[in-house]
Amino acid sequence: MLQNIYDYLLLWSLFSIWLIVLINKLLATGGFISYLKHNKKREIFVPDEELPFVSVLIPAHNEAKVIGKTLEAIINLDYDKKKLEIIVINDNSSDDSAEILQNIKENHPERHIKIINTDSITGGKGKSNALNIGFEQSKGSLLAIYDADNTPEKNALKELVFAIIKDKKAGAVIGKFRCRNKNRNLLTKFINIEGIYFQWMAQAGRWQLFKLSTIPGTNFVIRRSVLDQLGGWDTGAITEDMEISFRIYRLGYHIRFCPRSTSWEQEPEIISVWLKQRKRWVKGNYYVLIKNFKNLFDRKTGPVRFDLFYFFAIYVLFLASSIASDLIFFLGFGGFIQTSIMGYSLLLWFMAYILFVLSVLIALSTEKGELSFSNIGITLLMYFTYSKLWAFVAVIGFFSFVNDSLFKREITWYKTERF
Amino acid sequence: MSRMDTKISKRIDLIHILLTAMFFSLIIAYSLMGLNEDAMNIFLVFIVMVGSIVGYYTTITAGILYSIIYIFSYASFHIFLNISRGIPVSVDVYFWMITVPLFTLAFAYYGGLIRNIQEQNSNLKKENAELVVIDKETGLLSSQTFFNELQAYMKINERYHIEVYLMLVKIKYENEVIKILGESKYNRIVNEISNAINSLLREEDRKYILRDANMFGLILLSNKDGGRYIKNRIKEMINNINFKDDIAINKIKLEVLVGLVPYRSNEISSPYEFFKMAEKDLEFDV
Repeated sequence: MLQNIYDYLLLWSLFSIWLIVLINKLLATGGFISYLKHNKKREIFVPDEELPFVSVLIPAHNEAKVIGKTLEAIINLDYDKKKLEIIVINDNSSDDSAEILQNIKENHPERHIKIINTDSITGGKGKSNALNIGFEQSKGSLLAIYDADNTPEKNALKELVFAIIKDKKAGAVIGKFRCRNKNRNLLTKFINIEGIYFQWMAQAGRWQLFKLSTIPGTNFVIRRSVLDQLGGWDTGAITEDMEISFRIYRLGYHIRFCPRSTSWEQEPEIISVWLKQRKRWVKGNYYVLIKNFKNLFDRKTGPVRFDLFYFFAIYVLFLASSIASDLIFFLGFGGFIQTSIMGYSLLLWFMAYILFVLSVLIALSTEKGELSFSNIGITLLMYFTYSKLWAFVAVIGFFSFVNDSLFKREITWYKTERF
Repeated sequence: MSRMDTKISKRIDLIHILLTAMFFSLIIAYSLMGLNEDAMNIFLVFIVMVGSIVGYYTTITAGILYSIIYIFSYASFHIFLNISRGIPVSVDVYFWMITVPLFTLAFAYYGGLIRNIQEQNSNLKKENAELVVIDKETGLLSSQTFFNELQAYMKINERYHIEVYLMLVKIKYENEVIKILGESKYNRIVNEISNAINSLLREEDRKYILRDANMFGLILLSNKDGGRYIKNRIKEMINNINFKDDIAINKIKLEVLVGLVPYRSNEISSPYEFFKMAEKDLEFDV
């Protein structure tokens, strides 16, 4: 049957791809169970007088376009205003963010709003550093973090706080994020679908199967005691959210997923901005993968090992095997090499495609109004366009990561351009 | 019909035609591709049917999950056969991978639409029932406004010091009466009693039929001991009702229980309490 090295290579790539598809199928099923549970029971309400004091941190760097609306949305959150402190860290901005923020603060003298303006000496060293500055000046027993482009729904914070009060083992509780500008163009429509899909598979699915979810960088609350133990955010990390999630799990806490809390954020509207943002995420994942690789076999790491394994499977196994199988396919097609087991490859591809489309549809079916005919059409397209872009990003992200590690680039704000 | 409703019924019409066409295509494909030669295909038709039922009776989400599990297992099985036994992957494998999710999704969509109009229908019925103030059969007031008006009369008493009575009237041994005579004759009795009550009381007294509790509720304005007089008159009248043409009803001795409580603002704080006291008074009417 297996006649030469290419056959063995093909078989290996088949197993890797099949394994990834299997994992994604399990995650989709986990997401389904979580969805059923979510629809069945209602978390208990906590009366207003028992709610803890919360500090909301908003790190911002040149965010004049969006920061005003964000701060207004936070002020309008449904939460006892005596128990809510809002800290905006306007970090080394060169635009008029400071004036906009000051104006809003003066319009709401009855609220606890603190605005910290820094320059290139006192700050300007990235989001982690800005969060640490805000953390030092905050006094809440819980900290909530919102990115500068977010519009949380009115009940978003309260739901997170309910969930963390109820769950003593939760170091942090995360909510959902959705795409606010989804109707702008095809790219934002893709990102919207991707976001819903990610929420279903990665957050709800992982939470259901392994009690595991990771902080998405915005719309989450974290205990002050946990942050104290961690010593704040890691200023060397590229994706500080992923990094801190891993450390929370190593402390023995878990991160709970709370789908009742939703925040709407602005997504990139042009491809170059998208590429830059995603390249950073991929680099961050490599950073976490390398930093934590030794923990893959350490029991103390807990469920995070699944994530490490998953990253490894996606970024190493999947990437290498799809490249290998494509190469062998083309070389075999051109008559350069001989293989004896080619018949299955179309079927494997077809299965992966249909399962991808159905997994996206299952996620869309849970959000009101998202399972429309136009979104189904976009999903059918997505596999050939948006997903291919991801493969491209994975490759350039890898080279950029290697480049950065070799030349020790300094960490600064990786800013996503706003619209 | 509103625009929303026509939109839904149009969609139901469309999906119905689509489903018929899909079954037609399935049959044509079955014979064209020669699928009847392999017994495995019968089994796959069965999977399509189960998918349709799962889709129709649950949600679109569950239907998709069903398709995902099926496609993964089916395709993995054929990949295994291809590699280990060298069995080539034929076109019908792809055919079944598309057919199952298509049928499941179409039926799930259909079921969703049907559920949607069922829900609308039951909501409308409920809203409609809440709007009915006058009981169709007896012409008495229905229970919807009973507690609201009771509260209003309690307020009148506090302000003008007019005696307010709540009287409840119930047929004695009503379960047995229903068992012996049946629902329709029981309803006749109820109608006769309401006629009697209507003729006896004045226009300004409020007369309710509380169908959920199988009772008549009467709110009376009267001076002292007026209530007791009415109580006796009602019992007497009902004892004397003559169901001329119906011997079966005449044979059983029809009696009613009457509970009567005057409103005392220092003892009763809510209309519900008032009602409960009158209900308790029924127990003393033996």
